[in-house]
Amino acid sequence: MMAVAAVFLPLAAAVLAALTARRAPPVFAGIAATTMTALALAASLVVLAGLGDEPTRVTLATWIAVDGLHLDWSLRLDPLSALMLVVVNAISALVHLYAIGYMAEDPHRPRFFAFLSLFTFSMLLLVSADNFLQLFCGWEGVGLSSYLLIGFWYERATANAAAIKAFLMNRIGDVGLVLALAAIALTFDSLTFDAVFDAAGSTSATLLGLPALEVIGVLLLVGAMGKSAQIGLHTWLADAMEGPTPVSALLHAATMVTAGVFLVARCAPLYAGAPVALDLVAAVGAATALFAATIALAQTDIKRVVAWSTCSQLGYMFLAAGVAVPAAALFHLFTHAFFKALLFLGAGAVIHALAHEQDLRRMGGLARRMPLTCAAMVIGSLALSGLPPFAGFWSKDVILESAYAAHGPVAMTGFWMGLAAAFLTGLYSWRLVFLVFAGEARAPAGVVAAAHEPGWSMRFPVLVLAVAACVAGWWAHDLAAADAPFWRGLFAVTHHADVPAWVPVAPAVAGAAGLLAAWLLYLARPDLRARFAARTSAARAFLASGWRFDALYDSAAVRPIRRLGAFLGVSVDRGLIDRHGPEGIGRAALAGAVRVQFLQTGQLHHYALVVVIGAVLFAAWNLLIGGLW
Amino acid sequence: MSTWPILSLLVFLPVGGIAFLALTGRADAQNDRNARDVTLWTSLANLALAIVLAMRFDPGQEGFQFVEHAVWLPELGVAYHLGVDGISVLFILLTALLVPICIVASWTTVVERVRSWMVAFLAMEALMIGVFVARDALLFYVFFEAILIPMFLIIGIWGGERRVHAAFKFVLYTLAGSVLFLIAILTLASMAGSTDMDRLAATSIPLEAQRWIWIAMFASFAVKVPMWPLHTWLPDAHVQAPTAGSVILAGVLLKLGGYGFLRFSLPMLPAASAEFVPLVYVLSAIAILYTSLVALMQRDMKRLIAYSSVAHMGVVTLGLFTASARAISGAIMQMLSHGLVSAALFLVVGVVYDRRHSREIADYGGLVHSMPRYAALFMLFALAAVGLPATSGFVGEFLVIVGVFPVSAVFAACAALGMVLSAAYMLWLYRRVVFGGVPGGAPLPDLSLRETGMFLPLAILVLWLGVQPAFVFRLVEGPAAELAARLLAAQTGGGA
Repeated sequence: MMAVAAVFLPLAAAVLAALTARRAPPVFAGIAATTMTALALAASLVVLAGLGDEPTRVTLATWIAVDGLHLDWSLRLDPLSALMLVVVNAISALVHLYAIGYMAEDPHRPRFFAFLSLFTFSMLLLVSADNFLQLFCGWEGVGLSSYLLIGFWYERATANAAAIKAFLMNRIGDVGLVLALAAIALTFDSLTFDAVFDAAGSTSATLLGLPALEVIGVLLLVGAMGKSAQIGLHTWLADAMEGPTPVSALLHAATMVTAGVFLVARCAPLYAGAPVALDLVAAVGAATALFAATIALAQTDIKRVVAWSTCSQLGYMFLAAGVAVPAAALFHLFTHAFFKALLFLGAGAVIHALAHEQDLRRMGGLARRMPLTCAAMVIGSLALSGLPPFAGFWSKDVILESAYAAHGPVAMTGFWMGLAAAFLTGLYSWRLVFLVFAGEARAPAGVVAAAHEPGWSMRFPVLVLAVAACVAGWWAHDLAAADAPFWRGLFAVTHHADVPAWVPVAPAVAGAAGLLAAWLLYLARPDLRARFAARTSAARAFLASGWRFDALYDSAAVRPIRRLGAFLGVSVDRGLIDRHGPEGIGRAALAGAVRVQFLQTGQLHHYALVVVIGAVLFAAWNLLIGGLW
Repeated sequence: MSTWPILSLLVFLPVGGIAFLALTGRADAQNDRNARDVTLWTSLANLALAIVLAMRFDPGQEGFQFVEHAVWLPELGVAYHLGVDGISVLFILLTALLVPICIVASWTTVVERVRSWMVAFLAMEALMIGVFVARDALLFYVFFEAILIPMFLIIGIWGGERRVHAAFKFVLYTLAGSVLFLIAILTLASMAGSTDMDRLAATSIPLEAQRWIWIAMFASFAVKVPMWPLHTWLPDAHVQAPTAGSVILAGVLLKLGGYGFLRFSLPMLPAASAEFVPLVYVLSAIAILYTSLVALMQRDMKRLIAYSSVAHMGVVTLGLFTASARAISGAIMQMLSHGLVSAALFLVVGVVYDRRHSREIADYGGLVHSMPRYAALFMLFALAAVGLPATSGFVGEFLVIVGVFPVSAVFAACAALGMVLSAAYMLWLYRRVVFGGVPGGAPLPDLSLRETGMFLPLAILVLWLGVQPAFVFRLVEGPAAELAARLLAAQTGGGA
């Protein structure tokens, strides 16, 4: 019952907000949706507290039952889903509350809250699924809601383009996921988690001449890459900033990009038999962690810096899953949810205070005007750059330590790339803090004078998240170990070799070095930075453009596809097939047929009569000859 | 078994409506109003009858039910033989649902020759249901071909600027295939000594003959589906057809080709079907990818949706010719879903066409401002066309992919790629029409009560079938499994 409440209350909130949009006062939707999400959070905490040793499920209804394939709508309750329920509902409730203040002037608030709650529900459906198809349903629901929210300001052409881009990029990943589902159905003749995972250990099936588990693992990875914005399918994430800031916070912290990590962690029993696919997961993760960190360095939009940092942190999670420690990946997901939501909500407060200014170059000196927000962003950045004792330190440390301990060539490369990314993380996150809050104000004087701390509905969530970003890592550090009592034996325990004493310290040192470098470049020695900047402008332009992925995709895929579509439509379809097919036959027939002229006299309506007569005669024929009655 | 001839009643109730319309006097406002009322109530009564049929139908029972049999032309072995299985029941329901919706859709927009219009629609309904209940090949053929006449009139009289051209193109092209279908039926009949479809399915036919008959039938059905490259009549027909005509064309007429495959090619010619699977697969894959790309670049809304129909029907043919009960059930589900969704999308276009008299995408924009209810419904149907889970569009597509994958991962991947492309053209269409800036002109009013009423049943069904499709699968699972078994036996054992 509690589980049903935890999952379906946000759906009820979405429906309520949509239905009352025109009648109720505009504040109603926000308050109702926030309350209901908070209740869902309470329910999910009850679920978490009451979790038994074995997974349980609540079956709601049968969905598809055909030819031996039986799929239910049901909720699965195990440590993984219960943890995700809590994280998603917690972040969502705070973001809902924040949005009451942030969106206070928007005339379309009810629609906004309806979409926001729908977004939450989709993710809840995804994480509580007991079979792959329901997971896919939530998966697509997340894609849809993000499409609606990114394009929320639909008058803006850029918002529309970003929304479609996000949906299509995700759909490309979904092709992988759908084929993975088909492959799973073929290999295991089931799509239910228990049936599949129980059989995964003993299967030696092959697909296309390859081990089936490897094929499935790679296909699942493609799906996860789309949703979690891993390198190659990542270009939508930065553009998704077109949505209102609360959407970014929710999308980055809890309800969307974490879905890919969740999928890989959920399918750990499949990946256990797919070492090559697992290495690929680690490689993709490590590459994304470093790649996205370099891009974050060169961004000038405050939200884009944070967005690229998400991309990079997701890379860490994939790296962890790829070196067979999904518990560590989920632990980082957990801590990241808090400090990333904190950073976005803090950034939102800054944007809000500066009359929707998002350019770092026009900020600065805000520490005195917004001390609370400044403190929050500092805490968030401390956590993000992995400094002890803040949340990110605990989880990032475990990931890199595990990568080192795993000892494979991929894992070792991943360790060094992750370490480099940790340095860059320190650099770009402190660059942001210094540019926004330190130095002199670069915004117009009037705007700066008007800058102020936000109201309570925006302040409270930031405070809660700031506390969480301080303590969540230390408090929940048990999560990192697969043999922790919390996981109740959900994940296989991997015993890695011991690591040298410097390894656990290295990530924090790298992060601190990044902080120091940022301090040097942006506070202590601006002259150094100016000289550095002059020499690296080409490199910075390359990084700022996101390694030119957009331009590449545009010239290699988008435009050729459009040209192909136009060519096929005009030259092939009309010019070739139609001209010599139907039109050719039509011409031939029209040329010689006298009856055509008769039909073109405009007396066509007489034909209606012929139909009637024909039908009546037909009926009569049957009545008389057939002796039907 | 039933004691009253419910199937004949389903076919002849609309004919009764026609007879009634024929009795009314000259066309004036009063008579037009009466004609609308009579037609609507007749079609609603038929819908009620179809629902009774579905409720009394026993899915647990094998073979055809509610059978009616009367000798027609004994010397030729032709009989008036009706019967339904689960597949027929679903298509009868679809037809009986869409006709009243068409009547409502044309309530205020068709003002000329109202009576003829109504007669044409009732005639369509009778003939379409006739196709779905016929169990005699010749009877089937008569219904199958006679449908062309009212459709020809609907496009030719009430259509757009180039209606006569489009009407002729539609009829002549589909008729060309049909001649071959007739020859195929006669050949089959001469071998079996009867035109009874049960007898034909039970007769084993030498492989050589199967091949030729299969090709002749394929020519007819593939045009109707339509399969690539025989599809080019469809965009023209849709563009020129009035809204309700497009609804019936996309909703039911396009299903006749697939239904033909289900009733003739697959059960009667399993060996040839098995042989021609590669051909069907390739044409289906081309249809999915090629027409999706073509749809992407269309400037005319109706043309875009017409092309998307071809792509969706590609998924259907892919599933139908796969020896798996999952794929065949999925294909039938996809046919039903497409019947609902494409019908709804043509209504969606019709609503704004009635207001601004343009089908050009570029003439619209920012409709969400003045038409929020319309925007919400359009979104739902666009998403169903994209195949989002929890809509009817997903279930069929997914089962086809799952069913095809064991046969060929490549073709399953083609079907999956269609998901990306359909999202591209549908969302782009939606964005340009519903979002973005508003072009000049007065803001368009939102849906009227009548218009909301015609969308609502479709919206509910699209969602309901997405979440609870079990009802469909209970009806089609048996027949689908039998067809799959026949195809599989032909593939592995050879021969019929």
